[in-house]
Amino acid sequence: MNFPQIAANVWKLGVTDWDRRLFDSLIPLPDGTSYNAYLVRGSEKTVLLDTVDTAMPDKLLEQLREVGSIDYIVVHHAEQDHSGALSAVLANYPAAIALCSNKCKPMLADHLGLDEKRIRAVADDETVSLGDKTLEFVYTPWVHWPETMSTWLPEDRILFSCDFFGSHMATTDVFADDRARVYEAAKRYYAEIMMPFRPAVRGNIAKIDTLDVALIAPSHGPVYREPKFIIAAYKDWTSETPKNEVVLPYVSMHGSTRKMVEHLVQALSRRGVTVYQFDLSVTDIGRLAITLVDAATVVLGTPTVHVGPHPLIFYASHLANALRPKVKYASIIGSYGWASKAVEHIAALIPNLKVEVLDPVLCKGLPREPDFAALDRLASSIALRHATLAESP
Amino acid sequence: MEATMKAIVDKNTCIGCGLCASDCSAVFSMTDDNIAVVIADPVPAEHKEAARLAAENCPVAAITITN
Repeated sequence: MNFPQIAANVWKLGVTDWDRRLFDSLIPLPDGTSYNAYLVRGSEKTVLLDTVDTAMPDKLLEQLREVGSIDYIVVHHAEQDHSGALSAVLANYPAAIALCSNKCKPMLADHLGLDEKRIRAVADDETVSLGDKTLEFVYTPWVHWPETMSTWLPEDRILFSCDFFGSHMATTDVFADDRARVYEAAKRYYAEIMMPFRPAVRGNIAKIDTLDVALIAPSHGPVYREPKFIIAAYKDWTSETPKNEVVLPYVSMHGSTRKMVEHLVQALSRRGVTVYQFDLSVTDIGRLAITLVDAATVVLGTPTVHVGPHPLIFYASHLANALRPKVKYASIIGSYGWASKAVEHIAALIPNLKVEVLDPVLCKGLPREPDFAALDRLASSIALRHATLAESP
Repeated sequence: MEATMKAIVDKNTCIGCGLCASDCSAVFSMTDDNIAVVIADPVPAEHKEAARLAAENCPVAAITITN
């Protein structure tokens, strides 16, 4: 068959979507993405693992013309970027049965209107024989939805992990050998969809850590032939110990808040703290999410519009609240014209962040010496707390 | 003395997503009928924070925490 072969009788199919630039009408995809399907041919049965996005079923059907019969289609995850071509594949292969988790089955009926007679729910740890190969299903909830599962192919030591360990990345590389690129893309993906479910992700890592994995084959991005690399990265990202880093999203309308931000960034840097500064009017929110994975502190920089924070700060605060990063400290800085309720408004937006709020620094108009001194105190306060991070649980 | 914390799951509201059992397996478990149940009453002190997280994360607000 004319597809990349990743093991004996195991092929990578699917579509590389070079031009997609937005996911969920929300998340930027600077490197495009791919929807991976895999074909496993046993001595008795043939299985397709996942399909492709709703927008491109024809591309997968064309690939499958070479394949002949299909007995099973494993549906790891009901989301349409993987299940979008399932109806078309089932229609073309009337004897094929979809295999999915018990929570996935009603979701496929809900989201795709599939006939439940074509779907069989498989239990956690259940196995299905393909003859000389075996599929073992491993429930991996919350990477990304509650119904998500993975498949372990013990004969070839391949874990088909779906979104877990995936990366939004269009590439001609079959394998994730360009580690720097894949690390960034995989971290972006983790940050956007899995970070809020860290305890569940840790449980799933522990579950797959018992397997002697040779290949991790995700449903987005390239295949890992050195899986320890991405498993170690996930362990780091899901740990509850943040790093000596500050994320500083800000907006400045006339330059006063920017002056405060620049002063604080330099003050923190002099104290050995790494800072990520983001002008929200031009920020890729995926980059912002990546930095929230490790940061110990978030400082929001906002001017006051009417009486509250700039609307872009509302957006970033809401996003951070939803992603539930492991930050421990937060503060607010910014300039106002005549009065401000920025601090009260922002505090109400982030109830999920269990943070100690450090003294905000707000100034009327241009920042002056007392304001810069207050920013220096804030920097010292942050550096002092960060010095204890490694010791805290 | 520290207040006693109780967790209560409204089984008619629960959709069986399992997030609470992932967030705090010491306090919440899924039944064979796929409904969350409380398995630690009162909530042990060391699991209070995780139980609160589970209640906050519940997508249908089926968990009540009292203390």
